[in-house]
Amino acid sequence: MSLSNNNILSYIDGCIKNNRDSQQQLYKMLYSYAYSITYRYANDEQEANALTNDSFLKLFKNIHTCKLENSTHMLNSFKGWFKRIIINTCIDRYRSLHEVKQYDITTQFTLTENSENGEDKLAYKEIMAAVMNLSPAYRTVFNLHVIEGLTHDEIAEALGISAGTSKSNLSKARESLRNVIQKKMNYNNTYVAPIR
Amino acid sequence: MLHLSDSELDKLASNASENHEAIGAVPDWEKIELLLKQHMPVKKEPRRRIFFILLALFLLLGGSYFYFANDNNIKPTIKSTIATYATSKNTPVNPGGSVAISTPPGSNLPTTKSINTDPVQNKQGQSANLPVRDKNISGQPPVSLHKQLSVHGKNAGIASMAINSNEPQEINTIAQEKKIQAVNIPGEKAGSITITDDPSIKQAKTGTVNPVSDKPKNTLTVADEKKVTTSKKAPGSKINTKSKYKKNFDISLVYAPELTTVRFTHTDKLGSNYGFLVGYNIIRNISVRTGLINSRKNYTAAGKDFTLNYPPPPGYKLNNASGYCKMVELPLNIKYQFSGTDKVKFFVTAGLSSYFMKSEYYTINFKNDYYARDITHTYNTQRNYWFSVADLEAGIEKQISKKLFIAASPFMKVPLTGMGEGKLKLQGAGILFFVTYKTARQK
Repeated sequence: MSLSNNNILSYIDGCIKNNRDSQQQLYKMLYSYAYSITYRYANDEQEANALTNDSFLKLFKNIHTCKLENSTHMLNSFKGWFKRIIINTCIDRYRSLHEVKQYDITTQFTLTENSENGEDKLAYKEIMAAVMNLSPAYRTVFNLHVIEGLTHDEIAEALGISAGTSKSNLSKARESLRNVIQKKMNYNNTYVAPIR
Repeated sequence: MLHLSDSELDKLASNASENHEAIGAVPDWEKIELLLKQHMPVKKEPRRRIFFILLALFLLLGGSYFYFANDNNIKPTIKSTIATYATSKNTPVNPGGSVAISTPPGSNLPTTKSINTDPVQNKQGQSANLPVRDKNISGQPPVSLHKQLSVHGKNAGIASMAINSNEPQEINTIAQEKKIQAVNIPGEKAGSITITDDPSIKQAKTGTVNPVSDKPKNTLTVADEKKVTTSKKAPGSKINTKSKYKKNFDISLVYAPELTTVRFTHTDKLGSNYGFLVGYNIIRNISVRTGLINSRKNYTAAGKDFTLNYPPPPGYKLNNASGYCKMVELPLNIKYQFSGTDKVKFFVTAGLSSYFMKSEYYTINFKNDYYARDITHTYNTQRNYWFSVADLEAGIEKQISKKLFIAASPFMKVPLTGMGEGKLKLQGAGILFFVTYKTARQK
């Protein structure tokens, strides 16, 4: 969907005024974007939906603090700002629900090893499925470091763990993921998405 | 066996996360709306109808105030009005007698005694005192059926009148709450009558009584049986006679800015009305008024209030309709004018207006979840809407010359039927400004 800067500004202005129509417009416009992020951190779709709604609630509450420069990339700037909200929401959720532990994830996958296939055989959704099948602790650290680009110190501060634990979790997450992906690559065409 | 390095693995995951389309991404606005209601309740906007309610209240209170203020203004006139004196049929009028009635405070004119002429007033604890010099009548009991009232003229001696107390209604009108004194006024000719109402008014001549009346002798009237009104404005001022002219027709040029809404959901920029009105005074304070007013109304209506005569574009729903229309208004109103001062008067007006639609212009806004689009329409179909709007006005009128008046009148218009393509019920409020020329006819 292409939106002019004026539209974005008018939606934001309406949201600042707590206008329901503007909030609805913005919600519908950014829902997929927000969901695609929360999906990486959630255990299932239901949780992803809940995280998305929580993120929007925070967005509407704090939208008056958003400072946007009038440029052609206004929508991207706004999305970037919103992404921080979403990730913080996911982190908060994680911290409220989980104690950070190191899991042995090797038992979580029951994929059968099969013949080798090329990387191109691996669909994005399958990689994401593999990421989502990581334990919450590993998944969160992996997402924050690899996808969001946070340093270990930042991750440690965000999650309330030590930087060493973050590095350890990331290392184990990578190893688990690598194994799963490599198994998947060798899975041939009979891959069945893991039950979530 | 393929071995992925950390960087390759990270790149693979990043690409997957960026290009992955999340399944199950179904926006559920109702859920988030519930959250918003809990955490960010919408403060109720001040309803625009408050403006109209306040205007109606203003009209009501203003009308009431001026009604009662007007009522209070009448009282002094009533008090100071002296009606017919009817004398006893059996009592002869003393030729050459004079009647002098005055209440000059601090007057050096001697008063001797007062008698009460009104038994009814006596019973109510109110008295009309008639101080008289002549002791011949001063001792009359206040409740006697026939009293004699003697007053002195310069040369006439005593004029004796017998006032029939059997007609208390007439006597009551003489001097309610008044002190009436019979005095000798040096230099005053016999038969002169002096009537004053206010203490500040020393003497105001109101009329004369011919000592030798040509009328039947058993009847004596004061001021030729006409109501005499004294003025309170200035000492020594003469009688406040009513205007000699009666205004029958009037013609007004009018202009009115008007705010128009549809069910108070949106407001738009002000519209305008201009034209002329003709009035005819049917009875004393009431006149009928009609005319032709060219009207332009600007408005925005919510989608639910606009009747769309064609289906909206597929996937879209009607959001709102904004536009304007040009009409000719034919009002038919009744105007009631309160008795204010000579220069300033207040009035209220109520009636019905008919509208003749000349043209309409609309921008109709449709929207779906993501897009909005506007469709414009122009209609030049003439439609007539007879008595489709009720009018209410209350205003003030000021006389600026003998026949020229200006007036301002807040008004509100209440729709009775929908008008135009969208069958919109247009509420309106504003202020009418008048310049009025009144024809005058001598009574």
